[in-house]
Amino acid sequence: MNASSRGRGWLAAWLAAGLLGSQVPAFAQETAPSTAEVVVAIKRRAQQILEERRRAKRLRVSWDISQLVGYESNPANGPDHIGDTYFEQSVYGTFSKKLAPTITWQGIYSGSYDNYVEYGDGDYMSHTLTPVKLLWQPGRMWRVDTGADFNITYYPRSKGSNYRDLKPFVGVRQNLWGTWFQTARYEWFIRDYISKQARDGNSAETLSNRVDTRHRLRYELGTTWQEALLKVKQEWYSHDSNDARNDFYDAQDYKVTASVNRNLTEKFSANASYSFERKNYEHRPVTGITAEARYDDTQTWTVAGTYDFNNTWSFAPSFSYKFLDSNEPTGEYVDTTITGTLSARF
Amino acid sequence: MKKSLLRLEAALLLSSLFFCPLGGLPAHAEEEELPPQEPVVATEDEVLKEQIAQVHQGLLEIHQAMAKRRRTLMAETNEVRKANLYAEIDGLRKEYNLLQDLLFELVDEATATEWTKIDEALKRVRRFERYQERAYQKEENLRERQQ
Repeated sequence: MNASSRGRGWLAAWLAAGLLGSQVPAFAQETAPSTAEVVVAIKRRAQQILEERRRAKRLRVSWDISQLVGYESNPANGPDHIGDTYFEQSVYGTFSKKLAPTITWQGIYSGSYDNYVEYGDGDYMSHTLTPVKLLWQPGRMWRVDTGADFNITYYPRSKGSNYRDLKPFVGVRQNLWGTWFQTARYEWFIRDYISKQARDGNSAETLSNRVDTRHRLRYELGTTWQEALLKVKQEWYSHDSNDARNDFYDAQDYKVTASVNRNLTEKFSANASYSFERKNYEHRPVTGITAEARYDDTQTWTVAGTYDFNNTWSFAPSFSYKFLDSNEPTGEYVDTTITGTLSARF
Repeated sequence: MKKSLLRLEAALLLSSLFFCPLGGLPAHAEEEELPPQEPVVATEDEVLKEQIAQVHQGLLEIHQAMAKRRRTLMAETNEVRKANLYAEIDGLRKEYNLLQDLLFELVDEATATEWTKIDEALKRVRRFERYQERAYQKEENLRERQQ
């Protein structure tokens, strides 16, 4: 029996000994009434606290619902640069329950629906379910989480892009010296393209669905300084596909992101980030007489803010500029996105 | 006769210093104790913080009640009333210990789930990072369509 259960046992016995309510403890019969009342009140509060702690271990539910309106200068990511307005509705729901003082179970649902006014090929719906995510928080220094996501992504007008995937993950954060932290995260996914066949080396479609796998590793180093959060994140992934036409989708990717977030006022916080990503395709050919496989360099600048009207409502504007440079000239593009998001949290 | 009575009185007085005829003296009954210190914990759980504060307040009140009885005990000469005061202090001491166990339990839980400035800062950017991840995935899906 540990100290906590022993304490609870004694307290329960103490409360059950009938010394609650209006009954005056025997020791207090000759003391001033106020002392007896004080002790009874203390015991009443203690019982309330025990009841509240029992309630705290029950299931908690929270929801975050957002409506986004955006304009993209090049939603097709192509050379034509035809801009379009789009709308996104998203829901993020969290179910959580404390299993032990340092372990919490979470179940998460995340769904979003994007639809463009003109660029219908960009319309899509995504549902992600995380039935189990375990968070372990053994004190001040360590934060560990692990779980698995199931996702379905559906493009009603581009069925070849539909897929479902399973993604287990594990992450560890270490808080250092009060204000610094480092995080390592590993994910693996297997993705089944439910409406697309894999091709063989002769570009003929096989009877199997295209199936991709990816190993992804992330490392992040950051600090809180005054009211700001500064982070540098590095990511690396290796992507492999059973599509054998030039091993078209096989690639190694490296990305580095620097970001800063700061509370500018009590209600308004701002974010700014810059990322550079190099994607090296293993065998994908490029136009022209060259043996070099394709590579893409993407740079993205983003500035955003969040204004909290109150504990429930918030508004988040954002602006991002993306430039993709490639040794395949037909793959280069620039895309600018401006969005405004109204969110409710409850 | 008078001398033997005096000797008997002296013997009784001496023996009363070591033996209480109405029950054992709790060893701590006359000790002056410091009031319980307020625990300092950094936890996100506001309810837990409030509970710790309430239990600590309860401990302070019981401590004050015990201190009041000790002061009364120091000035009391009647043996019956002194014995009653000892019993009251002992009873309050038991209540104090039980409440202290509850406080230790709450503080252990707060320490185990300590919320830092880093946790607060990362929570602030979580929604923004979810949005960025979604935008990245959307762009990757579209880029993959290029043949």
